[in-house]
Amino acid sequence: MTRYALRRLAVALPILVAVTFCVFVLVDLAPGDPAAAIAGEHPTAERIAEIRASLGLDEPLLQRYGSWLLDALQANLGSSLANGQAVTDAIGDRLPATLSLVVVAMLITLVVGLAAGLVAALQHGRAADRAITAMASAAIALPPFWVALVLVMLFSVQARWLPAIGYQPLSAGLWPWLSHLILPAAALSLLPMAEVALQFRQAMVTVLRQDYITNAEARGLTRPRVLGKHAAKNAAVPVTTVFAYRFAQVLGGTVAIESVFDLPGIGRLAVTSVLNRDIPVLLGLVAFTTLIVLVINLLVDISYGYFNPKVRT
Amino acid sequence: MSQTSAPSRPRSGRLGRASAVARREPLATFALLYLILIVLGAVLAPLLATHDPDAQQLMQRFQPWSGEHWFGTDDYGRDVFSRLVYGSRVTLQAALVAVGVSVLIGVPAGLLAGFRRGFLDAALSRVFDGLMSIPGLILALTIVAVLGPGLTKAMTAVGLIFAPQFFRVTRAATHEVMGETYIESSIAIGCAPARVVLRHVLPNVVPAILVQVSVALGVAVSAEASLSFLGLGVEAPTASWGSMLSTAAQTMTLAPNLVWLPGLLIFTVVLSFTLLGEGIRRSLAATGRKAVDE
Amino acid sequence: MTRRARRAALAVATVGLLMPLAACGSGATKDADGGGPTADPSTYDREATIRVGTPSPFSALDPAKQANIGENTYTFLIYDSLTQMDASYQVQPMLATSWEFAADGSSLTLKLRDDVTFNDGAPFDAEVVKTNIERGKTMEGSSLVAALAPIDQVVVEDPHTVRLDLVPGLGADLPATFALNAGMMVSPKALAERADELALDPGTAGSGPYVPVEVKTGEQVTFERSDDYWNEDTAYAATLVVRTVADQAARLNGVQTGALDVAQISGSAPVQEALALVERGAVQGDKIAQITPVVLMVNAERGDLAKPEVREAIGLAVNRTEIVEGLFSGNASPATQFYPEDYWAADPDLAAPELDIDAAKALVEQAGGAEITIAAATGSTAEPVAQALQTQLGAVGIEVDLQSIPFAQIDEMYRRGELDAQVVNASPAPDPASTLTYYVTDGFAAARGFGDVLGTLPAEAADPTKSLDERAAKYQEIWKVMADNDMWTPIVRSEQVWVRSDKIANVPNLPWVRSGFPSYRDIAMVK
Repeated sequence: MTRYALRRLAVALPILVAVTFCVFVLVDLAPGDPAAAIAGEHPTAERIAEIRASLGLDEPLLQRYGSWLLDALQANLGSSLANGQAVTDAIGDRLPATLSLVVVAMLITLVVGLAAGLVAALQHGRAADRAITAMASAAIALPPFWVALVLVMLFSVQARWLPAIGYQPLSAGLWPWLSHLILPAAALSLLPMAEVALQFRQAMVTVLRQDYITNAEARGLTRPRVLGKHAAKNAAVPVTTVFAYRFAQVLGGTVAIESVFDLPGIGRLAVTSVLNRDIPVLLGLVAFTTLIVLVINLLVDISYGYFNPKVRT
Repeated sequence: MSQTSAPSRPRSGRLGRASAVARREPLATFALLYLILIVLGAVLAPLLATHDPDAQQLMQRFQPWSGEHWFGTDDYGRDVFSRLVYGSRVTLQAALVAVGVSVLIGVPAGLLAGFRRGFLDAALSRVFDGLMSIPGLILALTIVAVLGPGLTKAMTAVGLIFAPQFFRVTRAATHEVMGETYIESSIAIGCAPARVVLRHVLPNVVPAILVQVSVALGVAVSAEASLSFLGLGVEAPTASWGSMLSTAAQTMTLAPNLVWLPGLLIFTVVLSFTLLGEGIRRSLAATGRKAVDE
Repeated sequence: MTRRARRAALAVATVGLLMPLAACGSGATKDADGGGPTADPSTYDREATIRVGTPSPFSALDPAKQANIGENTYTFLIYDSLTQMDASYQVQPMLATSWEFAADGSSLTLKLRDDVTFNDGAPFDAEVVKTNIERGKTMEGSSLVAALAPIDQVVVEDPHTVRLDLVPGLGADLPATFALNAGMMVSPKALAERADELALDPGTAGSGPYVPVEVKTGEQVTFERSDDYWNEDTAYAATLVVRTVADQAARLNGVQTGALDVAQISGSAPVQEALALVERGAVQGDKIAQITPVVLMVNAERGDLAKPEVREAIGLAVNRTEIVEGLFSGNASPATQFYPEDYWAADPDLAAPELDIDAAKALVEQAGGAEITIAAATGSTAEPVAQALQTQLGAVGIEVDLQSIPFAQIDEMYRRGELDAQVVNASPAPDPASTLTYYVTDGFAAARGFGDVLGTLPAEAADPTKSLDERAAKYQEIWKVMADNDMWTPIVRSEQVWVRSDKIANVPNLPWVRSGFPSYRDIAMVK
């Protein structure tokens, strides 16, 4: 298993390099001069030239990428064009809010999604199944930002149960932390939750029809044991796929949700950086979020090996 | 969809089969009819619209419903009904672009990877992993920042983001199918690989893909709304449901009706796509793999 | 939560007697004693914590590194400046008690306060002014180079008098310029010990009424009142939390739920939404007329805009009444020049051209039709105006293509001459000399493509030896030349709303509030 994981890791790194390089090229192609953008409201031509030189913008693309990559390998992602803050600090400052949000959202996704999917599969074709499928379909039909706005209206502005904006670190206490995350996480998790539920239901239904399950039951194994040992393990493959895929999407979805709830996370940092053309921050963000997702994918790959030994070969 | 396994009560002709399906899947049928209605509305927009959708009347902003303006007017005094009708074109096109891009990229690659395994599988998987590892909206933001604003560009980005999902689901399902003995035996007895893929593998992975298509169409329509919310949607003054919804969200107190109409349309259309997809999946299962269904 | 709600209800009952609920004073109220959204200072809660939501982001809290005017919202609290602007946009003393130009305009002499100490203990004197100005002029990466360019050298005459020798013909705008970050003074101790840290962690480096105790870069700054500030009539709240909240709806929700005490709302639809909430009693609000006009800048060297008929037609086709009464629902006024009518350099008699659709149509026909592209910054308050213009100009035969460009790029693209036209919030500088340079003769270059119609007028108007009245006369002439030549089209001056809890007072009196980037040092919460 360790060798398998190491092999996967060995291919993950080239992906990271490829992704960051593509973004590097993309950003380079974009119109507008980043030097002019940071020169302020009354720039002089000399000042812009000076900034260009200090940013190394006059050097060839490959050389710039090369030096960025070398620095990045030493955990140095450069510093923000807008405020000179180290990119690692800028991301680090905003990471707690985003990670908290994503973790709570993914927890809701898994717990509610799997439970709903399981119930639907076991009740296949009956009322509970129909209700769950209908609700999941309905959940997919709602744009997340819109759900967020409605949740704020209902539970913050009207009922005053939960805060409408802002974030409290976990160090401020469990409830202050959680209370600021419930609504955004709910809005963020609605879509992946529905998808996990539908996928899990579909996979379970398929698996439960397989001969070996029927055989296992015929051999007199108890239903929970069959479900736990055989069915769930096989059904887990498509679900983990969705989960891994959705993790990246949830991380991306924070962009809109963080704006509605004014959460100081990396989603908002991304929007600001794109608008400011703050290239070092943008690159750092893409590299960093990609790294996180790759790690998650790695874990999923390994779990494939666990769930379905055939994959390991 | 093999010919041998006909529905339980054999009927001749397509019409007969269709009515049988309709009876078995009333919800999906209703969804299909609703979607046909919406698509017809989009096609016939110039005939249906009562006003020029972009014509402003600044002195007539936020008007309530009336005989002149059936659904009232918006923040520029434009006719909401006409904008909804014309907006359906933009929204549906956007969703088709995204899902089309992702299916075209993801499904063939997924089949190939699942069928061939080995180096090709590894290489394709890595490419899609890379694509999948970039958080979606951040990629969309970057692409729009580079190529400039425009809904089609943004939705192509969304399609790129969806593609790995189709790839992975197709590949995983293909893997599963490839493990079945009958596939192994067809290869063993020397069936051409293309024939095996098209005849045995594809039909068996279609349900999984169809569920994905239905989900993706839903996500694409609501992604259009999210892109509008981030200012990356269709360019003003052109209407789309998403842009109408996100603009109206700014004036929820002032003009709540502006929020509900596009919201309701997005909701019902996405829901219909999902129900239709589910219906098709069940029908395929019923006809193609009858033995399993019973 | 319920306790808070009950307390709020109680506050409505008691405080409501002091302050009218429908607070819609337009413009700054000068009446400081009770009435309106201002309250008697004796009722202020000196221990209060006030949480402010602003759309203005910040990146650098070092005056010499600030990249945009919005960052003043934060630095105004940390640093004192040499001068300040009052509510009617007149220069008033702050760290400098008086100033005088030499008769020949060769220098500007400032008399300084002698009772000011920086929050880190360093005293404020003429040497400090010299250090700061020289830093602003020479530091690598300084954003003050252009603003301080008129200063040739700084001479310390005595500990509390400093003389600025000027480049001949320049410098008339310096006293007003010193009211912004160009005049903000940083402690010499901080500059010597930790100049590089100031942008992210200014700490006690200023002499202002508040000390930033926690800076979350790009998100929020928490300020605590400094002890023994030299001016007692400010810094009423013990703690200020100024927070960047980018989304309008989030700001409104924040105030409605009590997460924020006051927040600024701008743009035609958001202002209407905010006023609807005020009317409903969900929040209180102060409506404040803004100085900044929304204008259509045209590049007379590009495409159909090079034709004088087309430019004239634009002037005749813009229906300001429809934009003011319709698009802004009356929460605005028509604009004809950079500064509002009550400003010293404004021309109160300058009228907008009469709306004349037929004449405009004829002009466009004469020009053989016209197709132009109008750009506006994505999500800006200028965007709706651009949309309205598209229709209004379309009605006279000018085909308009709209283009939405991100904030960080649009101005630079316009300056480089890559855009036909731009609808922009033309934020006027404290002094018209800087405004003219930035928007007309250089920078946005509204004068581009018009030959030499302005001649020596800008230089004459910026002559420091002239009296204010003489300068005003020159500027009035300039505004007229610009209007007569259709060099640009000023459209509308909007109003913004500061939504707030019923306990917040003094918003209309905040320095700079009419610029949209106020100094919150005077904000107060009543007990």
